[in-house]
Amino acid sequence: MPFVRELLKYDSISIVGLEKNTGKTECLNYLIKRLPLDIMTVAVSSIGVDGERRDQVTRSSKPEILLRDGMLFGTSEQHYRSRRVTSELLDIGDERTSLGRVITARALCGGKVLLSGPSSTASLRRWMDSAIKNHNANLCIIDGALSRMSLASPVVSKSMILATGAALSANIKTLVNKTAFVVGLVNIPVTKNAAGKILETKDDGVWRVGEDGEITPLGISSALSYDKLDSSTISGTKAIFISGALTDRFLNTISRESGDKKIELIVRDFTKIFVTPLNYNTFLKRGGKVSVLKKSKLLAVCVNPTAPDGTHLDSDKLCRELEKEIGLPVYDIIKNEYEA
Amino acid sequence: MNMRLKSILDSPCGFRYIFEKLQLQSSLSRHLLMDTPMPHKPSDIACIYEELREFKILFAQDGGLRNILTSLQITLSHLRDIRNTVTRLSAAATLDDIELFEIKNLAIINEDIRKHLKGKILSIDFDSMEDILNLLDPEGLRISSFYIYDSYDSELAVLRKKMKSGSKYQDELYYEASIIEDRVRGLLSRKLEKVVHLISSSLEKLAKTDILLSKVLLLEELDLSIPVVSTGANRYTGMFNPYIKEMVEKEKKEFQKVSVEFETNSPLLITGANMGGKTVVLKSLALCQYLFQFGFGVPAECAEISPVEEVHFCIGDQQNIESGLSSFAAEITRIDAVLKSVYAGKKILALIDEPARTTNPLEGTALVTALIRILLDKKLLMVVTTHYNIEDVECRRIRVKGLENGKMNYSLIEETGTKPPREALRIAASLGVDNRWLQEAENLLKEKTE
Repeated sequence: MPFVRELLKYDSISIVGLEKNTGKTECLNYLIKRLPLDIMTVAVSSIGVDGERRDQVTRSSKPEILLRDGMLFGTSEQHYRSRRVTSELLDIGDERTSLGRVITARALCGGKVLLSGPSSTASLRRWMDSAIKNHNANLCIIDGALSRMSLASPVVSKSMILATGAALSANIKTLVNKTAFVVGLVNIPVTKNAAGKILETKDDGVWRVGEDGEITPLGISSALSYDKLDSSTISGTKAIFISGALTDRFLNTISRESGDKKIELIVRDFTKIFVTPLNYNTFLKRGGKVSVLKKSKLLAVCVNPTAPDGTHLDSDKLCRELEKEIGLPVYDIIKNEYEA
Repeated sequence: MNMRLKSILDSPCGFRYIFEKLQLQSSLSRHLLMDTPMPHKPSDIACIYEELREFKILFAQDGGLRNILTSLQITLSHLRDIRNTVTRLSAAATLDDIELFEIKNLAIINEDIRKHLKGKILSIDFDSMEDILNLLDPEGLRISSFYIYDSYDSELAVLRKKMKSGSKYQDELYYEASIIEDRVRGLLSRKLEKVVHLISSSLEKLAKTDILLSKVLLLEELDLSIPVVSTGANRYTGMFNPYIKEMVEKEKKEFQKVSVEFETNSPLLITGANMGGKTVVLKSLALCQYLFQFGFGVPAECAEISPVEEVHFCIGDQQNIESGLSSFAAEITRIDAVLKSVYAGKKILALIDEPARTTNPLEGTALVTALIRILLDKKLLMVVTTHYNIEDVECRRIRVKGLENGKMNYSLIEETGTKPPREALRIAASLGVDNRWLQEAENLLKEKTE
């Protein structure tokens, strides 16, 4: 199982599920089981309680995380009280979540706990920094809640694992396409434009990078609201940097107005892209280019061929088809007990 | 009227501005301070200032303990509000790990502060929490983390060893261990219950330390002074309003401090030009009185202040108007409250800004004259500002010096006559309003005097 060894190169990883019941938690448990804890300290937490609540609605049980001796974990007061692990309480955070403050603790032997960590990406990042700085963690693993792609942002974690499966679609073809689109976004290359370093300091607005690398405001306040944007606005432009969200409307405007000229769209990272696959692919086919300032490393894609509604897909076929489409190894960790 | 600090926070005198400048480290201190009932006994207030003076000597810029101020503040920033845990402990509840962790942390903070201040601060007597610390730190590691340590129970230690040696998580063993853990928590809680008074008094004393340190820093930041507790008279030299001073200085102008004094049984009447700062004087007087009652430094070069049971600050603000009363009704009701308190024998300070100004001058004058007359021999401290000509009553009068060479002189001087100064037209002219209007008014005045 190569990705565990690969993971040791990073100090943070988030596990993101494309849909609930795609095997996120199994994936986390799989990692924990195989990490060499004798030579490293691992901290786990999750973002908020979002996913947990939804699971209660659909009445499928939220699996507990298996902790190993010496691991650090961050969870809410409420879930700390209901833990099934002998643990040493190290720290209590100041911020309140709906389940109380976030407790940081160390497992003193194996056990189980429900994770419900800080509720925003900024406070999660603070928790991770504190785990690394104050409690000597070498690796932080973040269990992503549903539909919180933002925590896969390289600002939060440097690497990620994507969990997908039958819960996303019962049709292998659709499942592969939907997953491949997200993988494509994660793997958008870092811009080669020399202006990238300077663009990192631009906190807001939309910026034009000229042929000779000079950076000037494009003249619109954001890519979300603008009145007039035509070919004259973007003439002589080599690249456009959007500090906020990239939307369908903006993408289509650029696609239409740039004509034969190939313009590079630069976003901060892939979590800032909110476009439909159709528009995105049309843009690329017309010769457009999208790049990012920061990229997180996609270590692996894991699949869960079983959905809660009883759908069961052919695991081998699913892995094969997905691998072919995305060019990355795909694992069914529930079925196959891979070697570490 | 059991006034607490939080009820005056949004008083129009601007108390909140001062309060928000306090560098309180713990939210516990903030809560306790806000819930403090307003002291009114001279001895109580003198006592708070005694403590503040002691802290000032030690922690002021040239104080002997100034060098450890920052480290004390960092320690105090870890102080948590665990009053709820104290209540649960007193009610014989069994505490969980989170609560035990927090008590242990309190003990560590207490010991740290005590070590630094023992023998140096006389006004706060910190109790030792060494025993509590030993109970919650049986291995003597003196770090803030906590769990039900193996050493609490020999059986637990054996079980834990078994759990560790097994490669797989065993629910049965964990269940067994958790029963012992609960028993230990019960025993710890009962031992802590016996010393619960130490825990609650430590919370209070640490919060008090935090409050006093932030009051000392406030003295420096806003250039406040510690007032003298007097009886029956308020005397201010070089009084200012920190918020207005800051605003004025932002515009690169100088704020003019004023001096003012008044006594019980002798209402003070302030007259003077519009824009002469009469309302600012009243606001500052109210602010100083509140700061004094709660033992803060006051914005004046020096001050003698008399404690009161109630402060009545009647100023034309919007609150009552919003609640549906007309401005006149709101004002009259407020002044009536002053009379009720006076007749009930309460020691009060009444600061009334231009009473009856929204009605016709004839009746208005009568109302103000009557108010001062019936309160002349009463035991209250009172300052009233007015534009009316209050002739038929003997009381102390001062006025704003007024325009001098086109510039406002805000200082307050004794007034011998009863007629209010006629400066409204000149001031209006200095604002550059339409000259035809003012000329017409000038003519009218001439007709009347001729």
